[in-house]
Amino acid sequence: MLQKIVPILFLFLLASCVKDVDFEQAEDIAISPVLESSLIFFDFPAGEFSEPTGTAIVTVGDDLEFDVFNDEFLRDNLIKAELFFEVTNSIDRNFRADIIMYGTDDLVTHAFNIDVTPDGNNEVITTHTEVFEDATLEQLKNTVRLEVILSMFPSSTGIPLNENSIGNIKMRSKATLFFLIDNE
Amino acid sequence: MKKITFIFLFLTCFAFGQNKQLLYNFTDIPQSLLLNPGAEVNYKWHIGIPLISHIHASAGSSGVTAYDLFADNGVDFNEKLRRVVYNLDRNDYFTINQQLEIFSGGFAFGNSYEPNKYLSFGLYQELDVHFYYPKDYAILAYEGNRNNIGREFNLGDVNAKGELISVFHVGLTTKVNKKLTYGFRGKIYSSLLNFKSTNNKGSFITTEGTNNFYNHTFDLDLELQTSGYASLIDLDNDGQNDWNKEAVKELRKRVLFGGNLGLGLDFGFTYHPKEQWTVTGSVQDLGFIYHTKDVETYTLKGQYTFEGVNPLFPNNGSGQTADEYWQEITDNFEDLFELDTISTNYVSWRSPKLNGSVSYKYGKKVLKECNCTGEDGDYLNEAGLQLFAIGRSRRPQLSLTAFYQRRLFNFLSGKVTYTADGFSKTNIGVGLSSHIGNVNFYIMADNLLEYQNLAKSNYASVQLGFNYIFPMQKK
Repeated sequence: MLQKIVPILFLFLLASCVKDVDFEQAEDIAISPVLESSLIFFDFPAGEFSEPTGTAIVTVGDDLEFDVFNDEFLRDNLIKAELFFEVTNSIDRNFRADIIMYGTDDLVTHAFNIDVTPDGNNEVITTHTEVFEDATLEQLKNTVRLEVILSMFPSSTGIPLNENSIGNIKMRSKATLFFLIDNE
Repeated sequence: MKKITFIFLFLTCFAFGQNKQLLYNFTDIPQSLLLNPGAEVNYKWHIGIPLISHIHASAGSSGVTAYDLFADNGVDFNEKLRRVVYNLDRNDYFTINQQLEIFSGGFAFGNSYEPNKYLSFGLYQELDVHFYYPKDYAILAYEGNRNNIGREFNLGDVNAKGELISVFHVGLTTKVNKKLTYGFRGKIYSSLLNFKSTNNKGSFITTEGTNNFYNHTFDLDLELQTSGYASLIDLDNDGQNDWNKEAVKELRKRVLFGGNLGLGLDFGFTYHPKEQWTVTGSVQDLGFIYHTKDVETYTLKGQYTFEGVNPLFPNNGSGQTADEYWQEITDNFEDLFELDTISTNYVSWRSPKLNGSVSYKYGKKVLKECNCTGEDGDYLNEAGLQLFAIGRSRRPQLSLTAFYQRRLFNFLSGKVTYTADGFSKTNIGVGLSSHIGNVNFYIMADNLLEYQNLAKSNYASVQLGFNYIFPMQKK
């Protein structure tokens, strides 16, 4: 008797009365947060680039491990990325920043450069936005190493830079990451 | 992702509360002694029918219903999700409570002419989970930080605790005179499983930087304490089914004093300032559990500000290469997010509960033979107010109930309640208790207004049980 009543009561209490809802909808979940993060920065006085001749191309650069985009979560959910660079130059020289990205096999996955022109010793702000979508996004996701090379070109006047030369070259940059987190 | 969705779905559908407004002071039912050991007893002895003497489950969430999120109304699911994410407050909460009595009983003793003491005892299992809506985490996950530059995300928004325990208890109810009854109940808790993360602090903020666009500042002081959990994870595992079986076996061992032990106390009283007036009060679960066995605490502590990577130029004075510099940053991040696992004993306090009521009885039964009211007969009606409060991590949760109770027939009593609390302002409940022969059966459910569609309700509960009760002999 009791064994019969209890399950029936439970059925009545638990199953009778949930209406007009569709839990399958949860399958459609899609949220799209946007993250922003500081990236590379530097600030160097003209003196850093001193060279005696005034005619040589001075390059400085280094590379660093850069495998954050290789992360599984980013691989699955990142749909677009923008890298934004802002270079402020008050050194009376032309510069070029090369950003070269490498995959696990040390082959270049993606590369781009930013050309910086001077206006005497006045500050010139150059900006660059590199957008990664579809094919280029894949290149970004395959990147594990990043090389940054800054080249300074010879002066038109041929006057060399020394420790007392004036001006700075500054870079600020940030990454904007667009996610689509869904059930796929 | 799927898993997270379903856990979320589960939690939004079945969140449970603890108030038992229908059972409180329903003195026909022996289990009312568990809510107030000072409740009046009007029977000689009782035995709960094992495993079905008290089954309790109740459902509630303070700010959202399953219908809000899953209504089949043509509104896009993500739009409904957005509303839920933004409309809930950090103090909105979800709770789960379930109890199952394994055995119980009691008997009257004392003065042989008119026993004035009642000893009651039993063992029950209880599951209690309570957590607040972690609003800042939800917003950060939902929006990201781009539109929140300068906004401090409070990482203390995670506040949750859960326990699976068994409770062995013995209580003594003493009737001093016609006016006053009081009682105490001692409890020994055995914790089968416990987790607690209630003292989290910290923040994450993105601000405009000086050297670079942004400074990202992490300040973490997070802690999760567990007991009874580590050993379950380490069980031999030959597939999921096998693990489930092993885990249940392991948990069963802990039911009778096999887990982490604790002590608790209930006390309460019933007082009649006048014949027809009743005042009651009780405190339940004033107690703690001391966790020493199978404890694991995970902590995340540290501060770090990230402003980007300053690469290039080994001659920048530090003598570091950019790669070393980058390595340092990665190490800093790893240190920051590294979970430290420690085994320190800890104390978890039970959530104490407070009950109180004031009520008035009226309307004696009219006897047919003489068309008069019985001398000693009970009043048929009782109406009053009840207050319930439960202590929770941030602040107590309160509910107020108006009730009307009536003896419908000799064998049947009913109680109707109207409750207002954090879940709902219009919660109507009905309880029935029948005595057929010496078998007592009771069933109670609330939130009847929403009963046609439980998906729309913030709270619902059900309790039922069978007892064998041997009544007092009529003098």
